[in-house]
Amino acid sequence: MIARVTLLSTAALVAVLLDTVVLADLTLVGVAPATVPVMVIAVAFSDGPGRAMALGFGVGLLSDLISTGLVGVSALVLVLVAYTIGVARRLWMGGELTGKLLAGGVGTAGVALGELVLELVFSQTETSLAGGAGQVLTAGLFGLLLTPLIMPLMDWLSRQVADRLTGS
Amino acid sequence: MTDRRRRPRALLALLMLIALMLITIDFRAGDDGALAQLQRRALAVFAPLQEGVATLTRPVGEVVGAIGALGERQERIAELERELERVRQRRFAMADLERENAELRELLDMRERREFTTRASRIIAPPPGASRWTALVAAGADQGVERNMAVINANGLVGKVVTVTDSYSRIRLAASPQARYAVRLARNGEQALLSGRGERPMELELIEESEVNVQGGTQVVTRAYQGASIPDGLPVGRIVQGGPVEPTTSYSVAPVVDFSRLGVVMVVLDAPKPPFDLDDGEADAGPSIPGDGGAASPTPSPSIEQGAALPPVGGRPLETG
Repeated sequence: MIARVTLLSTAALVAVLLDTVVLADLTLVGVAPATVPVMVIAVAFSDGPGRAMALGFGVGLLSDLISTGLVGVSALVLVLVAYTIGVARRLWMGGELTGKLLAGGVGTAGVALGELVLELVFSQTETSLAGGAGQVLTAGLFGLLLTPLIMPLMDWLSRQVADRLTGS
Repeated sequence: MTDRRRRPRALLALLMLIALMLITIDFRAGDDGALAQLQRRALAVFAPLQEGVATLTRPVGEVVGAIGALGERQERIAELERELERVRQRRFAMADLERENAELRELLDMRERREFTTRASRIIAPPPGASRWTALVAAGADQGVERNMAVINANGLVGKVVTVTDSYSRIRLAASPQARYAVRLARNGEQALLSGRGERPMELELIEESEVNVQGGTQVVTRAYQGASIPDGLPVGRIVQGGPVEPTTSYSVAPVVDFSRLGVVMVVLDAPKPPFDLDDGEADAGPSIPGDGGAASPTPSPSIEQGAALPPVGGRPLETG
């Protein structure tokens, strides 16, 4: 348990650093690729909603604390997406790869949409309908592209922890 | 319903409740609340990590970025060559204008040009979600940086400092949808308010309806007034296009700063005070300007007609400094 929490915490920290420093400059229509939502979705897909919600809340809170936005916005949205993906994966009847790609794309777009809606509600941004739609679609596209990279990595890390625990 | 199914729902409800409480508390408390203080502390802890990662990854990022921008740079080179040719053609006319300008300055007894004390700093990282229009710089209170100080680069106004820790500061870019600045048109001094619109051009609203349309290309500069920390006369943008046939008060403004390519910026540590002063009685009698965060109500510029009220734009506070 402790090993898994340590692993997820480290992965979350690396993801936030990656998003804020490395990927933040690679913007398309004002949206940068983000590994944090994909990581949370990966955990929701592999471990279920409980662990993914805890991770989403923690990493979302960290993202909120190092930004100038309202504290709790990213945490709330990531928790909701983690729960939705974690529950919906049981209902998915298609192949695992398609399911993961779909979850990565739609989930990341959902995170962008959720944050945008909350920022609009709390007057933190002024985005036109077309601009907002473009941002959400671009975020979804980035999520779709990052999913084949991040989900296998998260699966591999989970296996490493599981093997170590079994071995010990 | 089994416990196995109930547990995630209970956790969802609990975490949502906590998140909503945090949002409510932060929204109500504003910049002086406990959560804002926590954000400053988190920034102080996290910024060195970000700086370390940026130092390690910057060379790689620059190489990748350079490859990705090859086509764009070719276009830029061609554009610069055309610009150089135009500048060459105008050189003699410009020299004449410069001479005339120098004479006018002499006549106006401007013995020396305004000089700022600045602190140069590299942009470390934008925050999560590029749409939030802020940036982190490696200069903080230890370097003399204070909240609300103006941030500039070689082209003009970049934004202003909104959060300061000992070694780092976060700046809100002028294009941020939350940014509002008191400005004037460089050509005729008409006063206006400028609002950031994110990716879209900024929006300029004249304080008073002009009888003539503002020409496209007109430069927009900052306007200082008592209590403001943003220096006067900093270029902010240019009017994108003239207004319609009928006179209007609203115009689009293209920023002079390319916010997607910020490298090194300078924090203005000692913005000169406006060359005018009001005694308390006059200041109190003047129109009110919504202060930053809605708390302060700085006194207006005496050049604004007394008794005239500045129109609120979107209910957002003015970047008063």
